Amino acid sequence: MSRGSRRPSLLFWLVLPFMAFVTLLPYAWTFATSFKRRSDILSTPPTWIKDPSWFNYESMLFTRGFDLYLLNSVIIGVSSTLLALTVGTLAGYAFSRYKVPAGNHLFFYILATRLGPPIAYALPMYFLFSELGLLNTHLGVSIAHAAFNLVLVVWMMKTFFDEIPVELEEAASIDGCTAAQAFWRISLPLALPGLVTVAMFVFIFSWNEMLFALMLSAGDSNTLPVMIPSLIQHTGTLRGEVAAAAIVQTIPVIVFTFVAQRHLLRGLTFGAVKG
Amino acid sequence: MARIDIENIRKTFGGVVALHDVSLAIPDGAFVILVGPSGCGKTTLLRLLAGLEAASAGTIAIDGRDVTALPARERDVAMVFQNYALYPHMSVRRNMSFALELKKIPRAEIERRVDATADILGIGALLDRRPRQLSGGQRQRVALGRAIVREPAVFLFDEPLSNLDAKLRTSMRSELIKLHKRLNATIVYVTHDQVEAMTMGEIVVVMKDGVLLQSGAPLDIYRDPVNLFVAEFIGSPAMNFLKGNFDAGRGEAVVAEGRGRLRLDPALAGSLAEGRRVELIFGVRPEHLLAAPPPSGASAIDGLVEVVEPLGAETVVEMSLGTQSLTARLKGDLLPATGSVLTLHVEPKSVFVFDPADGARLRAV
Repeated sequence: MSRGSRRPSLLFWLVLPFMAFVTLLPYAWTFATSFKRRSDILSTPPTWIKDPSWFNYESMLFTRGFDLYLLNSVIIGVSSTLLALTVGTLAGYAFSRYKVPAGNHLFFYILATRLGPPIAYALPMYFLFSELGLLNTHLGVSIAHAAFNLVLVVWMMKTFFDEIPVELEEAASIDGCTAAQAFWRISLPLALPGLVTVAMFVFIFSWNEMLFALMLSAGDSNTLPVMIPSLIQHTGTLRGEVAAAAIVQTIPVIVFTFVAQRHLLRGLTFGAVKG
Repeated sequence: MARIDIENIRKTFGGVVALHDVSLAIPDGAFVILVGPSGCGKTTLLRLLAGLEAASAGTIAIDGRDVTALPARERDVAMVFQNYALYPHMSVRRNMSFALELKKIPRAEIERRVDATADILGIGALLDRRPRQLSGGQRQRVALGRAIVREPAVFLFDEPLSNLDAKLRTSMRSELIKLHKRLNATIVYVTHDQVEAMTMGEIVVVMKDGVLLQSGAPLDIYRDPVNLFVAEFIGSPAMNFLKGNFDAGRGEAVVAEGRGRLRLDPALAGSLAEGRRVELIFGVRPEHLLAAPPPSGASAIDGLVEVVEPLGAETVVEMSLGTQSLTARLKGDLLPATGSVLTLHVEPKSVFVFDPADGARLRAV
């Protein structure tokens, strides 16, 4: 019987709803909270949304100035993704197709950048960026995120390029392509599912990242995750605004996952089966 | 159309020599088959011609132009790969037009060439499909079309039929022969299948261990192999080899521990006697073994029939001669019983003699 046609077992029906409940309930509660009026949020007994309102979103985005942080998150997420993909894809291709001097060592050292705790890199990076005048800029945080994600891009893209038969590039070179044209017109389009997968991982990392964003940015260049804790104030926690910010923060992750699910699955299983 | 001159081409991978100073002149419009077992260097030679590998020494010239140092894209060659190497993300039409687009040929001319080539190959209905929507035979045709549409100086084929089933392979073989006649192009074709080599090639080049052993017309190689390897490789079923001693006094050989006597051609026997050669290897092709004694000599080999394969038009018989074995192709109406003793004969001129030390063919001087 093929995998696709196999009927789910009893265990599946017992475990899956439980897992879904445990995972989704907090999110559903946050979602509900984000539309509740302040008086309903902590009411006893707890209630679902009685009278839905956009108040928390308006307050968070416009009164508290989170529209700017949201924009910062988008700018830094997109630019760090583009930067990491550009450098990492080319490096992954080089590792896959060319004899790189000390290639194996180099490949391992790239991985080693992710072995240490991020805080170990954050402080030196702070001093370095301070010298370079990159503190409190979009570019600084983008570079930090891209650098941290590069290892993922290089490793995954090398694997994707390894799966593309080298004969296709040879055929292209006989057809008249230069090495760059063969990469651009043949290998890169074929690695697109992988590229989309990697792009999503990189973007979501940057979108959610807090440590580097906190260390390297301040004021007008702050990102959304850095600013959410600022809604916990000494006079009390703005629970509705926190919930609204959390929902906004998760939207791109959910959208990306659903929209690009086919790409994601194909990308994650790329190379698992030949053919 | 172009002539190819390969001179003293050497290729090493690390310390391993894949090609030993190979020289070959391929005339304009010839259909040349590079044949040999796996690892003989035939594909390496083809890749050197394509520009996919750089030569360690020697020169390659296409139509008098030295292309040894030129990249693949500047050599004006087209190649059909063993696994076809069609671009999966492009339609059949795009696969075929890709090289022409790179050359910046006008769109109308590209369309004309693609349509004309598709007509020749009967793939007009497939032009808008993707390679994954095609069968193996259709992919093969598209790969051919991608090469033809470019009108290159030289076509290179790397075992293009090896992924097809037997029936399709036979029909593609004859189509390729027709195509060659029609295009009158220079074709270099790599295969390990000696049947393809014999049926398709105008010139067959037999290689082994990176060395070019013999090149020439297929029948010339079949009739006049230079050594034991070529004699065994070309011809199906393969030539029989029997160890034996040459009796200079009688001008004949005693083979297979006395189970056979082979009369040799007098000129050859004279040369062997002069060279005082005794222990030798004697080769007889299966189709040269006769059930009835020929008028020319008293050769006779007695063997125990072990396997009989009646194929209708002919019967292939495998016999044992002590520790040695013999295969014969007899007429279809001859059906010897398994386990019986069969006596076969051979004309003196059909006996080949080889040096057991290096496998070299020994001829009449």
